[in-house]
This record gives sequence, C-alpha cells and structure tokens, in this order.
Amino acid sequence: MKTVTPIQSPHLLLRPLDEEHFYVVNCAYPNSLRILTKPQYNILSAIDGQTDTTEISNRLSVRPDRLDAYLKMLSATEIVRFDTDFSLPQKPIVPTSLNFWIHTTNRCNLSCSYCYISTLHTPGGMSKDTKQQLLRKLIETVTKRGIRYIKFRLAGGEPLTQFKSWKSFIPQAKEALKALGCKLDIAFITNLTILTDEIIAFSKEHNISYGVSLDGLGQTNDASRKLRNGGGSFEKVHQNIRALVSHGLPLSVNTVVNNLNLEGLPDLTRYLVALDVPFRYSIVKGEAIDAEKLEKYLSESYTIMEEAIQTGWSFSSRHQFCDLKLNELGFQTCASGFSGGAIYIDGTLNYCHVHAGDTAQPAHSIFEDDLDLVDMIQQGSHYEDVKSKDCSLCKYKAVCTSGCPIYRVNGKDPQCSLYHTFIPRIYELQARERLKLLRDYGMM
Amino acid sequence: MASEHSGDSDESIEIYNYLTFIIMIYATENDLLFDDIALLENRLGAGALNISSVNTNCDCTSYVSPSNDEDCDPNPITPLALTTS
Repeated sequence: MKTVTPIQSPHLLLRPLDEEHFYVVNCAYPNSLRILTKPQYNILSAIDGQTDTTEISNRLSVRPDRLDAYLKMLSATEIVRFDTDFSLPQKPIVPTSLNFWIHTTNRCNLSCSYCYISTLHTPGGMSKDTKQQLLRKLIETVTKRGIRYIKFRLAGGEPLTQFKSWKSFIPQAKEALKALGCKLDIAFITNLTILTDEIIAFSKEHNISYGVSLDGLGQTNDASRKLRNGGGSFEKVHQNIRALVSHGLPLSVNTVVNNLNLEGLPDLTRYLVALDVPFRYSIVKGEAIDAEKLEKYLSESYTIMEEAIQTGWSFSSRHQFCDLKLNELGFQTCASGFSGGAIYIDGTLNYCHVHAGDTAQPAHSIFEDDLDLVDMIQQGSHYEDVKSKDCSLCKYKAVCTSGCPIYRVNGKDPQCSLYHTFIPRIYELQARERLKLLRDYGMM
Repeated sequence: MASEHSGDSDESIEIYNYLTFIIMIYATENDLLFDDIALLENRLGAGALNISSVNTNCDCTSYVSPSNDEDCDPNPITPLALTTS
C-alpha cells in the first residue's frame, strides 16, 4: 500500500449529530454531505496535513487497506485530497440556459411596505409589440447560441393582472422555441390575490409554476402586505394557496423577513410545514433589521423544522434560506450578468430586476438589432469580482458568494455573521434528515 | 468486563479480552466502510440524494447547466412538490 499524506479540504465542516454519528461536508464541492460513524470521524479528525497514512493506520489501529478505501471514498468529493489542488465552483465559459425576470406591469393591487419598484402603480403593461420583439430576440439567441432551456419569471407589479395578454403569448413562445430544441418554462411571481378557474386550467395545461409572496399569518402578513384599499391580503392568499395545492400546481412561498413580521416566523414555519410546500426565508434588503430578534426567531423556526424532520417532513426539498446555495454551489448567487437579466415593460434589459425602471443604470434594449440577448447580458454590468478580501478566505464562499451583488456592503453580504450561524445549522438539519432515512431503511 | 468473569482463570480472561479486541477491530473496520450515499442510492437510485435549490422562483436563481436529458428542467421547483401538492 502506497503511503500518502491526506489533507482536509479548507472548506470542511465536520460536526457531531449525536455521540455515535457525525456529518461532514466540503462547502466548496456540490452535494458532498456525508454521515460518518465514530471511527470514520476519528480518522478524519486525525488528518492534519502532516501525518501520512502509515502513521494514521498505526496510531488508530486500522488496517491500511481499509484506511485506503475510506480515504478514497472521501476524496470523491474532495473532503480530503492527497495534494492541495482543491477545486472551487467556476464560472462556465458560455451559458446553455437562460433565465429572465420579466417585469410585466407596474400595476399592483397591493402596497407592500418594502417594495423596491420605483415605477410601481404607474400605468402600463408590456405591449404586444414588445412581447413579439422579445420572441424574435429569443429565437435569434437560441439559434445562434444553441440555448436549450429558458426560464421566464413573470413578475411586476402583479403579473396576474396581465394574465389575458400573456395567455396567448405563452403557447406561441413555447411552440416557437420547442421547434428549435429549446424548452421554455414559465413561473408567475405573484401575490396570489388573483386566481381564477381560467388561470388554473391554463397553468395546468402549460405546466406553469408559482412563486407566492407571504410574510406571515393573518395580521403579521397584512402589516406589510396590504391591499391598496388598506385591507389585509392573507385570507385571500391562504385560500388561493390551497387551491393551487389541490390542483397539483407547483408553488413555492417566498417570505421577506423584516422587523414587522419576524416575531411571527415560528407560527409561519408551522403553517408552511403543515402545508408541505417549499418555502424560502429571505432577509429584507436595503433596510435595518433587529439582529438579535432575527436570530432568536430564526432559531425557533429551525427547531420547529428539526422536529418536523423526525415526522418525515422533507427539509432538504422544502426549505431555502436567503440566496444560499448549500448543495449546488456556484460562482454567484444569481444568474445576473452571465445567463440572466431583467426585462422591463418597455424592453429594457437590466442586470437585475431591482434596477427595473431606473434609467441611471446601464442597460440595453431588446429592440437593438446588432446584439442578441447573451451579448446584451455580457456587455452589461458585472459584479462577480466585487467581493471583500475576507470572503476569499471564508470556508462558505461558494455557498454565499458574498451575497446579492446589488446589496453587498464593502463587498460582503450584510447578513454575513447570520450566515455563519445558520449555514452549519442547515447542513445539520440536512444530515439529520439523512440519518433518519438511514435508520428508517434499517441501514444503521 | 473483567469483573463479570472474576471466577474465571487468567487464561480465559485473556482469551475473552483478546476476542473482544478482535470484535472491536472488526466492528471498527466495518464502520470504516460505511457509505451512506452508496447505501441510499442503491435503494433510491443514482443521484437521489442530490439536493437542488428548493425555491427556484425566488428573485435570485443561479445558473444551472441543463443535463443531457432533453426534458430535464435545470431549475425545477422540486420534484417532491409535484407529488405532494
């Protein structure tokens, strides 16, 4: 057996689950989470980058061939390597899928306290001409670039106020792109206060999914998400979520955690776990939040999720925290500047939908003849390298990628310290779910 | 454990301790080969444990390359949501 010196990944997280079981994950390698037994943990802990396999084998009384097999298993996801060439997620050279946020309208029937749309409630939706120009540009780009998948997220304003105008465009665009070997998927990013039988039937026919905004239960939601007449929106949204669920339409719930709703987070968590729908908690951007309370109520919420895991609730397929990508990892938390952008109602293509309607931001227009959509994205803004020095040394750098490029403060996500608390907690819950699965199948 | 065998001869205690040691080594070495991913993927299928981002309709979706499967959605909501909703 050849003697080698194993080295732990500098992005390793190695933590106990109970006295006999542990989890390990390489936070820079996709889907590397593993459950370890105590002897496995002891060996991994003994790896210090100096001690070779012969000495580890002697010291821990382990057969060299078994040690070799174990280290080989760990090296598959670079939990250990035998040199220092640990990999990091890289930016691909060219995109083969595209992702567009479509600002369909400035009209909205809600007045949310934190809405970032500077042109909200001004008249106008995307015109038929603009939609047809968008389709021409999509066809041009797909043909030229070999793009095989496109996702549209129809947002606003409230996109379902524009349902009738998109109802004819969506099948047309899907068919045109399908003929070129490109799949188009559609999602409505909606407050879900408007939902009709016609919308449901159309969504089922065209496999449309929903991202639904909900900030809490009852008055907690209604404190920040009011109808324009001042009334609350919760009851209507609750009713319509149940309608989507009963029709088998895929949906996920997005919650913006802010000072108005953070105390209601544990109740909301119980509600969403009981509904068994995917949900994402994000922290409000661009305004202050009570950090102490935030940690307290988030911790309570994760305890609720931990209890639900033991009843068979699937944490890993149901919950996402902020923009953290704990398993997929990447070079940037979003597609902006590489394979995605935001298209405003007049055809302006921005780096991000946060810039929608902001004429001070650099932008292209889908009416420009000499550029395709990828050209426009590539010639637009880039923030991939605008990151703090601390981030370059952080073990979680591939998980958070310094956060939302637009809202970084000194090159960092303002919630950096919160992430350091909750990233290990989220990995731990994924590991507890895995451990339960192993026990349920009698594998340990 | 030795106290439970206080009536035994020194030789039988030695044999008992040796066997216990061998069993421990054997168990440890079996534990060393424990592979949670292989065990579960044998049962659930290859890639079944890969976790993609849950809430892909949120405002920030990162780039995901499509697989070779023509019908594969690289930005799925989540497969389980489709079966349980």
